[in-house]
Amino acid sequence: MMSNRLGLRNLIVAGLLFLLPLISMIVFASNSSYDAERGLTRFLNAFLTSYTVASVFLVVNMFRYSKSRKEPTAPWISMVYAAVLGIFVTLMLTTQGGFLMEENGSQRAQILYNIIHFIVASMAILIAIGVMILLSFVNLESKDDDF
Amino acid sequence: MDNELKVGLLLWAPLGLVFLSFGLQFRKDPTMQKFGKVIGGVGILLFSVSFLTVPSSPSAASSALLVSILPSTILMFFGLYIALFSGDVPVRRFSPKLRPLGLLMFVVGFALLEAMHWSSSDWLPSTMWDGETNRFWMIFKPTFLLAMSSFLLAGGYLVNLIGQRISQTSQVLFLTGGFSFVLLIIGVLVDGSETMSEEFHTSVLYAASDLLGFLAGIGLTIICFSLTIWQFERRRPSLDKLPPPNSEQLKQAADIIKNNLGGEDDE
Repeated sequence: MMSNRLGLRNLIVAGLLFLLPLISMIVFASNSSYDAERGLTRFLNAFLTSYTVASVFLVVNMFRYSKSRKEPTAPWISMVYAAVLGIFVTLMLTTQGGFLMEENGSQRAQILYNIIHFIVASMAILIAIGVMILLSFVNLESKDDDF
Repeated sequence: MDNELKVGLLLWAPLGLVFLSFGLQFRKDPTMQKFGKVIGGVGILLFSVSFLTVPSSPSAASSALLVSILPSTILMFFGLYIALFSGDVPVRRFSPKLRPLGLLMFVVGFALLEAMHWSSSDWLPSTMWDGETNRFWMIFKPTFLLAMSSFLLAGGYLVNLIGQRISQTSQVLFLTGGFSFVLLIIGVLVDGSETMSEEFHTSVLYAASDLLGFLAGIGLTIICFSLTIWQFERRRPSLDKLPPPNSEQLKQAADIIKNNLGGEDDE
C-alpha cells in the first residue's frame, strides 16, 4: 500500500482520468448534432448559476467565520468581492452574445429554468459523489489485517 | 387562481423553503435547526408533488423526474449504508449477514436507473413527460453517468495513492467507474426505448458543458472566498508568537476534551 504525498504528476494523471470519459465522447462526436454555440451557452449558464448559488452558501458561512475569528467585517468584505467578481464576469460573458438564452421565451423564464437545471445537474453530480464516497468506505479493511 | 400565482405557491415557494432550511441549519439555535428541517421536509414534499398540482408549468417536469429516480436512489444509498455499517468497522450497526443484501440493493438500484433508459415497461418509473422524453431526464442521466465515470476513475487513482486500509477500494472504484463509462458508450451507440442514440450523445456533450461550467463556477467561488479568508488570516500572529493560554482558556479546552472522551456515544 502506498501512502505517498500527491505530486503534480499524480494530479495531472487524476485530471486526465477525470476528463477521459468526456474526451472519448468528443472523439465520437461526429455522430451527434451537438451545437457548439449552444454548448457554450450551457457552460456559461451552469458557470454563472453555480457561482451565484455557491457564493450565497459561502457568504452565509462567512458569518460563522466572522463570529469564531472575531472578524466582524469578513462577511461584508467577502460579499463585496463576490458581487464585484460576479458582476464583472457576467458583464464580460453577456456582452459577448447578448443574454444567455436557450430555448426559453423570456429572461425571467431563462433564469427560472437555470435554477431548475442547476438543481437537476447538482442532484446528478451529488449522487455520483455520494456513491463514490460510500463505495470507498464500504471497502474499508480491518486494522488487524496485515499489508 | 391565476396560473402563475399557483405555480409560484405550489412549486417555487416550496423550493424557496428548501433553500431557507439549508440556511437555518447554520444557526446555532437547535430550535431553529429543527424548524429548518421541518420546513425543508414540507418544501421537498410540496415540490415533489408539483407535477400533480401544477402540471401546466414546464418546471414541474423536474419534480416528476425527482419522483421517478427516488426508488433507485433510495435503493443505492440505503444499500451502501447497510453494506458500510455491517462491515468490519468499529461502529457496526447491522449484522454482517446483511452486507451482501446491502450490496445487492446498490446493484439493483443502479440497474433500475439504467433500465429506465432501456425499457419502457409499465413496471418501471417513467421517463416521459407530456408525451415526450422528460427534458430533465435528458440532463440528469447523461450528467449522472458522466460524473460517475469521471469521479470514480479519478477517485480510484487518488485513493490508491493516499489511502490506508483500502487496498480493494481503488479496484472497486475503477471497476464501477469503468462500468459507468461502458454504459455511457453503449448509450451513445445503441438506441434506448424512448431515446435515440444520437439524441443521447448530444445530451452527453451538453451535460459535459454543464459539468465543466458547474465545476468552474464552484472553483471560482472557492478561490474568491479563499482569498478573502487568507486576507484576514495573514494578519494574525503566527502560533509561536501567541501568548500562553490563560486559566479560562485551559478550562474551556479541558471541558471540550472531557466532553469528547469515552466514545460510548461517538460514531
